[in-house]
Amino acid sequence: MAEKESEKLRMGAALSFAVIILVIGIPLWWKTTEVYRVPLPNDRIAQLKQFDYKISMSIYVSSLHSDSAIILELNNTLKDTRMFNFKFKSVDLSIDRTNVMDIEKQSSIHPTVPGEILLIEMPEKYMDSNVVVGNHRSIYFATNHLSKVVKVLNTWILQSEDLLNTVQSALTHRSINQMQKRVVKQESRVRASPEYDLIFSTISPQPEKVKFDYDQAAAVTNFFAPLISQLSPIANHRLKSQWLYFVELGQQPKLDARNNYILTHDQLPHIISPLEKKLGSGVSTHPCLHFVTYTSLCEEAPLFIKAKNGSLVDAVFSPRWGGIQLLNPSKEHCDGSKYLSPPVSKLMATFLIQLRVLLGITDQYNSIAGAIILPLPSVKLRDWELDVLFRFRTVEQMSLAQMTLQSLSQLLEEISNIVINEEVGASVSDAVYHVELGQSALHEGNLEAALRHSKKAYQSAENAFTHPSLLALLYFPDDQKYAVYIPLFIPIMIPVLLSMKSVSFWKRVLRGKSEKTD
Amino acid sequence: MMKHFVFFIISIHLAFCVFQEDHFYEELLLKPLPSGHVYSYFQFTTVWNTDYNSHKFDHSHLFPRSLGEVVGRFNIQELHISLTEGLWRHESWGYPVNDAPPGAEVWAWFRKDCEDVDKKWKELTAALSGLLCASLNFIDSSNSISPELSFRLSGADNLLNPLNHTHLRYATLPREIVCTENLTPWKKLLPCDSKKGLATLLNAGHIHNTNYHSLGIHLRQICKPDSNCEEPIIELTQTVSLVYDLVILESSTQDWSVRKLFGIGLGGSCPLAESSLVYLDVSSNQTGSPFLLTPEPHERVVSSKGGYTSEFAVFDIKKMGDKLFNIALTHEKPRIYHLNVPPVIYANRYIVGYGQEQGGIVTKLHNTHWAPITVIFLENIPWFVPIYFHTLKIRSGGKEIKPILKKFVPGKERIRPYYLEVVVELKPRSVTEISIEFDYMFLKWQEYPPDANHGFYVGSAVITALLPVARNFTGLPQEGSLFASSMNASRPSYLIQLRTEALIINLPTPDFSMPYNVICLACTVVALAFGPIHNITTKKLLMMKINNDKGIGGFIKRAKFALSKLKSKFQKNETTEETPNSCSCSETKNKDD
Repeated sequence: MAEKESEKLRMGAALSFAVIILVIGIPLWWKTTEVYRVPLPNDRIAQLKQFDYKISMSIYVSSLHSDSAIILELNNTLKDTRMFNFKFKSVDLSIDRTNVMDIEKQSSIHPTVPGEILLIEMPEKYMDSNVVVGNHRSIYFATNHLSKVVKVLNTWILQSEDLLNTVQSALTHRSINQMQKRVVKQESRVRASPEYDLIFSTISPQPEKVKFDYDQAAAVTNFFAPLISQLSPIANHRLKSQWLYFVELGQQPKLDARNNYILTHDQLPHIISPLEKKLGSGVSTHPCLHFVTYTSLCEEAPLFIKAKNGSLVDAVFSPRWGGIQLLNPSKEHCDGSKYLSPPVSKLMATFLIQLRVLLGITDQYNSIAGAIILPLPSVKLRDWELDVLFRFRTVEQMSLAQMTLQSLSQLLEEISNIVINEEVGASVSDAVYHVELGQSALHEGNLEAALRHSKKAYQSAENAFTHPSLLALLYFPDDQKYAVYIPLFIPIMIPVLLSMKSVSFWKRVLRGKSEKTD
Repeated sequence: MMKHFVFFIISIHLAFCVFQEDHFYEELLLKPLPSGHVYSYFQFTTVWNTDYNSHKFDHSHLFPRSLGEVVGRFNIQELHISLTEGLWRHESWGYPVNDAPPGAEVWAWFRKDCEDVDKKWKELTAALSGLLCASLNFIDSSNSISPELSFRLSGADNLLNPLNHTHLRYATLPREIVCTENLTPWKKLLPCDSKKGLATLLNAGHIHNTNYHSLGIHLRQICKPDSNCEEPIIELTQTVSLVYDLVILESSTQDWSVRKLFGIGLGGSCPLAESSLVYLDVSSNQTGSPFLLTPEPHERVVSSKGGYTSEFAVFDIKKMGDKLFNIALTHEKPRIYHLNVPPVIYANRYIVGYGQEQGGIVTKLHNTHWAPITVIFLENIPWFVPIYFHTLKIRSGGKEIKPILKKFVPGKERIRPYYLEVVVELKPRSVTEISIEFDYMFLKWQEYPPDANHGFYVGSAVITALLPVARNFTGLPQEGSLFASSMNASRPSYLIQLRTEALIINLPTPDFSMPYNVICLACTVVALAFGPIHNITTKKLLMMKINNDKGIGGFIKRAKFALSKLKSKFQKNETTEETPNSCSCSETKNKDD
């Protein structure tokens, strides 16, 4: 009987060892050596995929006779437009429909909310062209030319194909030129960022010869300030200027028959790299757009660049980088008898065109027969062009944020020993929250709010993805953890597991006995 | 005064760019030192005539835009950086124009409206480290102090609302090694880069085999000349100090020339500079062995200040044209070295004590002047060298001296360094010894650098004093921007700041495989202990009858049995197979035929 008791005790001891080690010890070890991870909203990130990127847009119609007939026709032709949901509303305008320019000047008529468009029907006899696109958010069209309005809307104002490409390229990680060759415009656009530096540099390789009479800082600020303040909802653009001396292009130009020095098209890529070394800022982490005015050497003046079509130009544009203009000093400038005073308005106008391309707003719209765009009155963008920019930025930032979040959650699932601290977790939740808000704002047609949310979402997502703490423990993989603890586990686990065998054997014996007594 | 006036008019006349309000000056001072070394000091000064207070630094002309961006972003009023290799030997070389400790030193004054100075300071040093390719990013609040007495704004300040030391941050990195990768970005900050002017002399190959070289960047605000200083303007000074040892230059004589020192002659001035001057100190021509200068200098200037007269030969590079030329100094007779007269104040520093437990830092301050001199002594001791304030002893000639003022902020591990500032009066012609004791301590294993046995650096102490005489003094007066302003600049006193040697302390260094060993060993011990305990508690020792069928004996028996069985079977097979098979074989063969 005593032996039975001691057997029971021993088995109890074995069991309690097993329980303490397997039930308390191992989970405790697992927990204490675990990588710290804040739970991420993975379901919500997966949900983001469902979004269709449909933008709601209000189109106001003011016709001569029947608004509803026009709305019906527009509805039929536009309902297949991808990425857009239209709401048509008719408005009563008591205006004198004889002169487009007069209506254009009445600022109270034009819609003020970004994204909206007003269609105004005009009697055909007062119109020079069939369709006139104003500088605000209004389109004037002559009676019976509604089909052209639709065409204008599609190609100039909505640009839904390009929008779709932007979304798809962001979501599939393919560059746009792989998808479609024709969207050159999209390729030259700078990548999304909350802040940009626009750096205007005047380069004078021979300051001992050429002396300047040019206030670059004033010229740049006076010319570009209105545009910069108009762009401020999209991103903060900072104007900067500098002078650089003794910097040369480092390429030997060729002399042509007319005594012009020519840089050929294939020399251009070799110009930018040496310039970059001197232009860079070093401190700013924002993308820089460079606008360079290069004074050519006195020995090599006049200097031109041969364009692809063979014509000689003095300005080049480099996608996503900026532009260079050449300034040719004359003999008087070179011998020091005259100060070189560059043609400021021409210089700035060229830089403006380059900046518009970098922003993604073309300067030469594909022509549509019978339709014209009123000329730009100032350096600012047209109101509807700003809306185009709003839509592109919103869609781009939102899809990029979505893609970043998806990649991040996938990465964190695959690599289990990446630390996720509170900061990263908060950034991720913040980004998800803003993408969701932005999506609903797009559905509601609130373009301004959508842009704001997309900007925040993009920033937070980038912040989470590039957070340095993600890399902290990457070099201490799990197998090393096991290797370190193996001297403890093997000698302990073997006797414990083996004792389980004798415990189960003892139990079976015990059960057999009790059955017997029954 | 007249000269200044003329200079000013010329500078306006030469202004090559009508709208620009910044002016650039380049200067080089060459000075043969009594020890036979040659000291060359480059100073590139940019004065920007624009209101510093409201400046955003977005647009720049001669002022480097990259530096301007840093200054504008971090709300800085004054910035001083020095990157130095080697130690300036005050005892034999006298005082340099700008003193600098070995390694890197940064101090910055932030503007009054700057909030969260510590954060800005951390960001500033990170930005500067990118700008100068130095490891300044290792500077943060754990190795920075805000000295109350030693440092004052060197430029203009608002008298009604002065900045106090809470807006000052000072740090050194004595371990920093200065080389070409720092010189190249430093040169990029110059408007002419190294394409033209005096900067062409700065070739990495020649300036890095000197005994001492130091790069400096000093930004401050100064008063507009001839104004009541309501709108301070910006002054940026970039300096290079080099000390050449003529013996290293493989010179059999004591003659030297610009080409010998820098490997290249001078080739014209920077066209953007208002003035481009070389000053050669020829004072020793009267006292020492006489020498000849070729070419003849454009001007000879005699400067007397603080009771000491020195003479400079001035070469105006603007007048030399663009051709390469050389400035050479030749001795007529072999040069005789005189007994060196040490400067008024100099210092030495060393570590005392033995063993791995306690040590002490001793600084010896020498005063060679006939009158007592009051100095401020500043120590910035890293947190891993805990010093004891009560052990601070100041002795002179065997007697203990009571300091005039003591400031001490004890360090906190990993948070802030030990800061000690002492104001003490040095007796005439005496050596004063300041000593303090410290403990050697262990660090966390990840805090040791890759080569932990090299030792840990303790930065230089800074000694600030106002000298009554200008012996060996080469510095600029506070209001002066150019070296020219130090001519005849007699003042009641002359501010000097000396940096002592940096120290290396050998902290106890552990075996770095220790953590792994500890885990493994502890696990093994636990496992070893666990086995017997588990056995005793779960198993019972029983006497057993020897059963042949069980255990090893049983196994052997069974194996023997199996073997014999196999053997017998094999034998049986052999006997049975022999005769009948051969028979049948032949039979079948026959049938086949």
